[in-house]
Amino acid sequence: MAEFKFLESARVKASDIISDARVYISRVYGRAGELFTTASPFAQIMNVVSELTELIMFYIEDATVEQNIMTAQQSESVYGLARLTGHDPARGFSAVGEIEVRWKPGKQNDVAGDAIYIPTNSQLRSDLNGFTYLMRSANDIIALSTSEVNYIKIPIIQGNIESQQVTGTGEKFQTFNIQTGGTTAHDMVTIMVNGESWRVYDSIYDMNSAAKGVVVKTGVTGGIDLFFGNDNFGMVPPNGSIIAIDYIKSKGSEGNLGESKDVTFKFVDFGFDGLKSEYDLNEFLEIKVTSSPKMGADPESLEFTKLIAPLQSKSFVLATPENYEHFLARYNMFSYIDAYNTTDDQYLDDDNIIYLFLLPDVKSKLIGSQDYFSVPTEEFFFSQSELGAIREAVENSGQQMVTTEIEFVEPDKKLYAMNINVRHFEGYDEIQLMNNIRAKVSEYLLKITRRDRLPKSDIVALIEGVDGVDSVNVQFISKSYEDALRTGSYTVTQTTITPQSPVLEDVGNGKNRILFFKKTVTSKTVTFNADEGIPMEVRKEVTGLDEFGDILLNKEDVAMFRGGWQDRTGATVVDDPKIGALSSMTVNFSNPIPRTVYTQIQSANRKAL
Amino acid sequence: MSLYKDLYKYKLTKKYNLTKSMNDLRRNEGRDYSKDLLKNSLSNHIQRKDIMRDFISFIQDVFVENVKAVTKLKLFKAFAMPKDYHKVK
Repeated sequence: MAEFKFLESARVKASDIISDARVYISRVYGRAGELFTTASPFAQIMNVVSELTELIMFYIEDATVEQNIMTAQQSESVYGLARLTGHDPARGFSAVGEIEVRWKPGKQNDVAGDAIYIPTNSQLRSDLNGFTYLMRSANDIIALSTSEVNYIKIPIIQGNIESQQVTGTGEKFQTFNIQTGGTTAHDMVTIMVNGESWRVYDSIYDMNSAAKGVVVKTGVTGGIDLFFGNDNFGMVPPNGSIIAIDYIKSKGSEGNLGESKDVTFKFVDFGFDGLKSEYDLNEFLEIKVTSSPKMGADPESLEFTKLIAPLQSKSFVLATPENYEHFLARYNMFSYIDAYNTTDDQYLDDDNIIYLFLLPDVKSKLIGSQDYFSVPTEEFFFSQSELGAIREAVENSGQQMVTTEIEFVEPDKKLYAMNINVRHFEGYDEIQLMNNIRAKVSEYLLKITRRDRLPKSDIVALIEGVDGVDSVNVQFISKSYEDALRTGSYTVTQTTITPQSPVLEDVGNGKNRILFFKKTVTSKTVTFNADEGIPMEVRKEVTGLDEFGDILLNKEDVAMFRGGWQDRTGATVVDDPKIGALSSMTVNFSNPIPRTVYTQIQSANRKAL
Repeated sequence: MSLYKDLYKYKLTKKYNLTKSMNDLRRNEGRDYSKDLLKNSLSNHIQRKDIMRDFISFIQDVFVENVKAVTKLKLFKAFAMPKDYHKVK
């Protein structure tokens, strides 16, 4: 980028020097013009030296620009500089899932011995995306006994294992940079020293003097960095020792497969029996997918790294809501993350609970020509199995503080529709205009991240930018308000907290907790006079709209412009946006206005403002 | 006297340093340009004479060192890496 080119060549130009050198050579040998060409060794060497020098100057400029996180352009540089702040940029995550395998009927009789053995990390291939998945186990071998009639569960992870090897020097604080190339699974690095597995720690200070451990971080110069100890904190790999590094090269988010029944796998690697005879596992075993691969994520974006690097906690502990937001944001699969606790309210029993309000990045879930209005509504929220995988990722991180628990906040779906009134210029096709408006609004709604309110002026501004639109007005309609008008009543909820004698409550997962306060949530249905309307003091709460007609959102609300509900007259709002008919996005076109020279000038002036 | 007597000392590597990488099996290191950075850019015709080939080889070594210097610049922020480590892309 031009603004980062700080080495100005204005004072001395390489071309000037070369030109002078050529003149000098010409004078010495009495050859000039067409007789002194690049066929001459002198001229050729001069040209190549000049080109290489310019390249090196470019590399110097580039290397210097890349030393500043705000001007750096390459991911290795941004990640490396973020590492200096203590932030460990996510190198990506492999999708993880679970399969079950069992014998095909009668096939166990065709195997010699009492079991078939499958080496851990044997490969499967997905029929859906063609990617490789590895079968994982705590042991080296997965054994399926011939007497086993039930399915056995096997965790799987997307990717391929790649290995590298370096040499221990026997020095304290040995450090190695391993160039990995491409996306790798962040938490899936194993280190062996002379064939013995060494544990991966978060910090040198976590290791005692006899700990066979290593710190693995995203590389300051790309790839991954390994840091060994100094005999006071962690053992030192001996001189000449073989340090083997295994990691999983991953496809990131592309490795995620939906919950569909079409998810099937085939064995790639062979199994073997007690006599080491090989067997094509596809002929002997059948596979059932119990949890399709999910939680795969690409390396974190550079913008995100630049934003979050200064906020890194140095404690490596998931304790505060900010720690949780930082931890989860690295998965690159959320459109919104809100972690919070309720230590500032009167209810003390949940003060150790971190509430997680999570919304998926719907944009990454769109298939083919889907947009905001056509994607299935369940894609706007995480399924229970996905939430289970997120909980597992938090728990498996080993960073969760012992006393804290997490609880997922169930998003409260608030349905809305929007009426858009458009006046357009003559000569523009209404269906084409409708498609353009739909595309703009869909893009906006898929990207929206603010959680307090949704202003209709945003939509107006978007549609005004559509070619052919002269004037636009937008109105939001809330389902709750239409329900109240249709039924003549609305519901309000109230939460009260009162002290009580301590009671032991089962909170699931085999855990109990003592409650000192009683939390009571009551709902009350109130009827109102249609002529007087909903009382002002509860109007915003009931309608979900403020005095501007903008959408108001509570912490757990998710505004959705989708159909499947009735308006005040009992007419059904349909999902698919329509022209002039009640729908999630109704576009009403008024009579087009003539496109004169003056309207064109005015339109151009407005765009130029 | 040999033409090459006492030359190329700058290319010598300490034997002790060789042991530091004797078990290395590394990937993704990029291409080793140090032996052909300049030679590949010049016509083979002008390199047919030994003297010219040696002359080019000396100039090439200067450029290789310059490129390594850029690598050192890149490594400047990698506080824990040896400063003479140059296998960084």
